[in-house]
Amino acid sequence: MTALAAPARSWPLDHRLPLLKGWPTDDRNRMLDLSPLPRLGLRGPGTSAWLAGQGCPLPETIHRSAGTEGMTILRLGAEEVVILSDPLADPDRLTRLQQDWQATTGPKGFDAYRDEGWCWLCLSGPAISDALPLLTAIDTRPNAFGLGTVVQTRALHMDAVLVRTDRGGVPSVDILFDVASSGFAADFIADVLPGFEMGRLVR
Amino acid sequence: MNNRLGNGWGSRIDRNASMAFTFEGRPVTAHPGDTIASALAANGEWVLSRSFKYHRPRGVLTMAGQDANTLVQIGDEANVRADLREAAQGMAVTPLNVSGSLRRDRGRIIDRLGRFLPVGFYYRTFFGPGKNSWLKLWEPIIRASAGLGTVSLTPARRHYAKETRHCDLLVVGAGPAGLAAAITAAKAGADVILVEKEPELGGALTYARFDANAADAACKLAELRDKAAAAGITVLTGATCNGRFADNWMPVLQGDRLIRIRAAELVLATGAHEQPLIFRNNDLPGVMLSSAAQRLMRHYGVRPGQRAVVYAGDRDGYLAALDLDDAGVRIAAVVDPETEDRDGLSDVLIQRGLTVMRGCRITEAQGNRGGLHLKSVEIRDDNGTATSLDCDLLVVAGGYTPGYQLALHAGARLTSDDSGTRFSITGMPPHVHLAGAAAGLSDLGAVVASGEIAGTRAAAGLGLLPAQDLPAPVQARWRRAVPSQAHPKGRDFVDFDEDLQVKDIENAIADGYRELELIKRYSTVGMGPSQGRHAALATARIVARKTARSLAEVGITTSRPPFGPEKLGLLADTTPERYRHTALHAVHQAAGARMSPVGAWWRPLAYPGTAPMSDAIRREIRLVREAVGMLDVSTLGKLELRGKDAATFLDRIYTMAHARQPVGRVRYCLALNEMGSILDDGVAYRLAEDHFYVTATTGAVERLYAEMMLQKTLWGMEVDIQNVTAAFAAINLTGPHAREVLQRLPGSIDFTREGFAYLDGRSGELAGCPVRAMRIGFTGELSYELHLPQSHAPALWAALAQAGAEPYGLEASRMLRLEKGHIIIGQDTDALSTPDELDMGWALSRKKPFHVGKAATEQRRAMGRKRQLCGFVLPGGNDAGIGESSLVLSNGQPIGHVTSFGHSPTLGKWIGLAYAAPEDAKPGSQIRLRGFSATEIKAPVVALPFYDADNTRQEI
Amino acid sequence: MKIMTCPVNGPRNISEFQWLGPVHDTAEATDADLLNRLFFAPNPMGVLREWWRHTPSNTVFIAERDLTTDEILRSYLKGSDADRTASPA
Repeated sequence: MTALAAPARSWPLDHRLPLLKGWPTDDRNRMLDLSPLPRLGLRGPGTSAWLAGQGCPLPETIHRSAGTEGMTILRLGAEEVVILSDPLADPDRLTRLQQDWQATTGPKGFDAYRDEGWCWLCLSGPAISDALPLLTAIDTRPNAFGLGTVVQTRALHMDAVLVRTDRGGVPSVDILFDVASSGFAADFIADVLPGFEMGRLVR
Repeated sequence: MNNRLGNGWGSRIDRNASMAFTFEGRPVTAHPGDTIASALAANGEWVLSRSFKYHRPRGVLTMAGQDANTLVQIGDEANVRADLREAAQGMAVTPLNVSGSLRRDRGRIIDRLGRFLPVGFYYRTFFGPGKNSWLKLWEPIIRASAGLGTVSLTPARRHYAKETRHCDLLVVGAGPAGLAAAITAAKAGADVILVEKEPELGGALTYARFDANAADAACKLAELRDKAAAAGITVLTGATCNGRFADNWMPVLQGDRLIRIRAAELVLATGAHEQPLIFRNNDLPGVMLSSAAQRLMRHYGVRPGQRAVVYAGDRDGYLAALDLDDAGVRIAAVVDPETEDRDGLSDVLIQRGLTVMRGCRITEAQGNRGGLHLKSVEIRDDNGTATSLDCDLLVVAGGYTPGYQLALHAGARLTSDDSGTRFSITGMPPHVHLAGAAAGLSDLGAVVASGEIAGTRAAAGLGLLPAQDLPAPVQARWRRAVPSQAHPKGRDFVDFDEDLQVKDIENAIADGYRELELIKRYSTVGMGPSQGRHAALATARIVARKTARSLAEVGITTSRPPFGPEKLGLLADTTPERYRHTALHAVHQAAGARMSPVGAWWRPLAYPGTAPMSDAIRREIRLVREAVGMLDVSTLGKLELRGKDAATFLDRIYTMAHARQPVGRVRYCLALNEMGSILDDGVAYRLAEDHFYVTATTGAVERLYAEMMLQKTLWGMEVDIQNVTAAFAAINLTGPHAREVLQRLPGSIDFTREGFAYLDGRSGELAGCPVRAMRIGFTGELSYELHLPQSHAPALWAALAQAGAEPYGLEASRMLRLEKGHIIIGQDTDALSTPDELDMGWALSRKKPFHVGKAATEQRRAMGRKRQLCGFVLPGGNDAGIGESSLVLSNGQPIGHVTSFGHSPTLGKWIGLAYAAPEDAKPGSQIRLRGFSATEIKAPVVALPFYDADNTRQEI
Repeated sequence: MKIMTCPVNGPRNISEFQWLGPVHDTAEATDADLLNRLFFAPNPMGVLREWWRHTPSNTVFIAERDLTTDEILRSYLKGSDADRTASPA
């Protein structure tokens, strides 16, 4: 990497959604685009060993998430993870992790480009349990989709990863899916959940 | 006229409030809780519609939405069931199938012409008079008069919601059996959803009496409702379960919402459908089922008539008579076809002063003037003696058929004993349970007990109760009332919806259709809105009798979803259509691009701004040939292959040699399927020993990726394959000035000719963006395909624009590559195209022992070629109207077609690619083309490429 | 809507899956049986082993289906214990 300042990155919903200054603290129903926030996807041989070596606790089983030091670690497979920064915390730990990964030369898994290929939305608010049945066909009852559950399924008519995050103590679900369908997803949610306000965060 | 009963009747209406709606423009008063039909009945309006074929007046029959007599139109909404839809203030209700007014419908003349319209008459008529009389005369008449309801072509948008719910147990029907099942399972810890199509829980308990003492039913209703409320069951009322699909996947329709429910266990407590009786004029308004009369009285407080005859073919007839008597309706007689008193209720009636006629049948009903309402009935005893009774209400208790539909959807069968009087449902699949009247039970105690058993067995299926010593499911073989013979004068309807009489079924048999399935199709019996609910068994019995077979031999037509009517809006996906945008979409729109869908993606065709498209395309072609243009190719498929077996894997999937492809080099890849046909193409850039970046076509990448995942598993290789199509954007910078543009930007890549040769790949930084750059062909000019993480694409595009590049679109790109003779997968190839047909044998490595499709290629090569893709030009203009898909002829027969075609501004000619006979496809020959104006011309075949034959321009 | 059980993700609606074809005895067809494999689809009155892919997670696995009852009997990954004990189609 050169010393030139990296140009700004653009995201599909930049022109469409209002920019919020921080994580909203009221309990309105919202769809937030978190795509610009730091995240790291790793896959392939060496992934879990490298992360363990960095002191990052992986969820013991796949399809669970674990939170630590401003990061949410989603385990998608034996050797596949996605690490999302916690929008309510400092992203320092994840940024350092990304830099360490770049610098490592030994086995470390492969970059899965999850900071580029996926749009990252968070749906939060008191109406989440009524909203989920309108978005996906999986069992979203509390005992089937509780806090920390990760599901690879279809939602909004697309392949998607859902994780129950309950950020800030408010019921919430994060959805990861094809970045090229960001506009479509916003249209879909506006049609199916008209009461949800929309916004985006960059930090 | 006010037909309301006093307080104590009408559990669903609020007498303290009033509203008004119109029917055929006439004002009708109603209470909140009334349905349209109950309010009309209360106002003395008993005629609701005109029948489908004969336009006979029709009225309330089931009062439960199970017949088509009550279909009305409300504004834009067609085919609303008036006996289910709640009345609302200001509703404008109009009848269906009426020409003029309901009472004086001009179509009623057809009833007089009935003898000219026997079953299946339409197969033999409308052939004349004269030629074309069908198109000119009959078809317009029939089109105008056929169908029910009017569809608006400009409806207001309705929002139809769709959701998916999961539960442990779904109970369909909240009558006594369903409530008992739900309560039992919920108490054992099951998560239960209870679905009921009526607006309240209770089923028959809300209107029927079950015994001489009416208080028993009322008590049981209160008890079950209280227990259900306390049990934490999710209740959906006004919700119809419309079918049962694989693994207990059930569509539940609730207003404008479709709720798909996945249930681990299913209890069907769907009740039973009361059956009408067959006799002459059995369709007159005023003839209704006993449950209909009871619903009118108990739910809506409406007196169903002034003077009634009750037909007690079933015990419920006696109970209905008691209800009518309690409501103050005069009863002329209770008619029982049996001579024995099997139900023990005769005495109760006689004590009240009512007349019971034993061993008698209803043979005919007579209507008033115009046939608008019942006036009297004719009753015959076993000796044939006839009696006539005046009445304006005939209450029919004709027995029941269980609600077997959902059970049959689940794979169960309806079987009967040989005499055809006793039926049962057999073959219930696992995880589906039957309870209550649906299982043939009628005694209230037995019904509730069967519900408890079903709930227990469902809970055991969920592991909530021990599976040993489970009570066995109860089923009774239900009795069907004795059928009547055909009336010599007809109008004895078997199917009200389709206006089919007994003789129509008999005539269908006489016309040669002996099998029930054929009779159904020939006569349309059971195909109307009530879907054979009332006609199926009666038809089967007629067929059995007429063909001297048992009912078991004849069988009964099965039932398939949907159970009841469902709006297309509930089935259709009304959410926005899926689309995919590249990271540069907003940039294209701002630059005045004309965008076009390519599958789900949107791509720029050209950037006309305000100019005509053809001018813009020509300008863009010149731009690339003479200066430099940039094309957004972000929709290209992109695959990341990493791992120690990456090269070996590529070598097996693609036809060219990749195992020893040097790092930093880019090689064309061609993928075949096992049949030796072309699957896809692209380029592979080797970034490291164990790291390849491979492109594929926009349209085929998903299929190719799936194939790769399968092959990787089959071959057991250690390679990580990831579809990164959306993660990377890609820009094709092409033109003689492309290098200069790139060198104007800051970056880490050496773009000099020596540092970056044709088919080299380089990774580094450009204008602050991490890029993977590849020098490839396609347009025939100096080209760099720049791949980079999609979030950086707008920044790089802007930097390239500032450095002098201008955008060009798909249309120009297609002509540029055509001038170089490059194929496009899916346009110049089809499912059978082989590399040999495209003169691409060079892409098939001879040294490799294996690649997918190698064996088939060799076998097909031995079979010889039937066609060959070649390049051709038009000698002059295109007056013949040649275009893509124009036929190529050989000896007068089509041998191939034109796959790509257009006017090349660079060459000043019309050029194209086409499949032709191999012997004609050699440069120097001619091929014969047929244009869209049907003119045939000869076009000379030329060698490819059309432009820059030495390929020098792309290698500068 | 049938349920298919992905060995890694559990039971899901069959719309989450892509069918990849019948399991053949060998990964590559010899010249002799190529025609058979390409143009004759196995259709036994009994159990057929088929390749399936769970598209959201790209899990490729084998499912055994009884073609007479359309019942999916079991599903497993290649190389798992279930695969080793399975009889060839």
